[in-house]
Amino acid sequence: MKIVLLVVAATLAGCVVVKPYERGFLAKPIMAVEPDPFETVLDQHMIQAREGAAGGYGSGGGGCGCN
Amino acid sequence: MTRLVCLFVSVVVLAGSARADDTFVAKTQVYVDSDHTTVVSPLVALSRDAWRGGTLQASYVADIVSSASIDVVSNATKSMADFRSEVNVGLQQKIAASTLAGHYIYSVEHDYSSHNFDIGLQQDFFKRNSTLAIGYNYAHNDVGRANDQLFHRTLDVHGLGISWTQTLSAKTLGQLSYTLGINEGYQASPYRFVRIVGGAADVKVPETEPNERLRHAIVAGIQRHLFKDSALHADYRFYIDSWGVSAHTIQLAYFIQFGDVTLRLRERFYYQAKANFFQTQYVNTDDQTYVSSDRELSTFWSNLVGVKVSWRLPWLQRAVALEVKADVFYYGYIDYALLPWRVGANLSAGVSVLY
Repeated sequence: MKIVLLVVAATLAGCVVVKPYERGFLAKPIMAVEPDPFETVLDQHMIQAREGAAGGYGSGGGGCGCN
Repeated sequence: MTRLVCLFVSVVVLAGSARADDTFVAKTQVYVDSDHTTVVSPLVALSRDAWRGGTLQASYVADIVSSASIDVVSNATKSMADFRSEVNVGLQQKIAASTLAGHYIYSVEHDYSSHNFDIGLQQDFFKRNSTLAIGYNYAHNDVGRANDQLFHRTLDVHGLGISWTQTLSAKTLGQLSYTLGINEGYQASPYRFVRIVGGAADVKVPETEPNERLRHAIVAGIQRHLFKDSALHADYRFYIDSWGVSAHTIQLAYFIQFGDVTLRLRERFYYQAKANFFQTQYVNTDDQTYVSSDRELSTFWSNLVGVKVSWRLPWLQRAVALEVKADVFYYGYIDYALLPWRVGANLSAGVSVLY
């Protein structure tokens, strides 16, 4: 919990207000938080069927497909 | 339910387009590993901006499975084949700085069916420098067993997620997210049996796992634009659950853009500590409420490296993009006697069209 609060505080302390005309770099496709949602679906489904952990990332779709 | 899904997909296909941001995606992923398992997963998806701020989405993905893994052959079966279908329909509506979204996913295979519902809200703050996203999902699963009409179990899954994305500079984004999962119901495999040694004779009993599982995951991530046309993405996830499984995940991705071509290199490391009831070998004692031979509950680590190339074709106003991807991975099992390691690859090719 202390580590989480430290990360949150550091994140918020580093916050700046970037004006719309300064967002050129942030608008590039390579800066998207999730550049390929469909790849995430396929990847997470494959990973969640083979690991004990789950969550935190995009959805792995539905069902079992436990392969 | 199937008819309603087909109706929705038809609406997505036939809906008049309000803007030129409609997309079509088709890709196929092939998974193959040294444990004699192959999975081919084709995916098609369609997204239409049907009215002002409103987007309809529909997708279909299949898993065509062929396996003679140690999991399969250790339970006296030579091999198995399976086919899973999944349909996903969704609606997204933007209202000022808010975005509401909802999806329904139906997944079915010969011994398993699943209904998933999710809703989410995304809100921008501080002139889009901050974004809060919250979501809830519910899944109801019906579990059967091949050639056993009398076997039927259920599993209900609830999920809550919250995330905060923050602009840290003109070239840097940061995220923090937390998800809670609550599983209630049957979570074992109806095909797995566990060997108990030490009595008059070894016996095999059905795998038995707790009916409830509380799961927590927290992810911290950062994206940083570098040089002229590069970006580095990094994130760390910590996971822990009520079964005693804890895990660490580190992911790195480096993007380089060369005009219409984008190259991505990625690395993923994963380490997991075993469930508190998992044992390499079960000895005949009285306190064995839960027994499992699921290697996904054992202690292991894995590493994946991969490369992906996307090319937005310079013709047709750059509306068409092709992509190919290749990942290779290694799993090292620390306390799973039947399989000390596994290597494999995940290959994918696809096309996306903006129209």
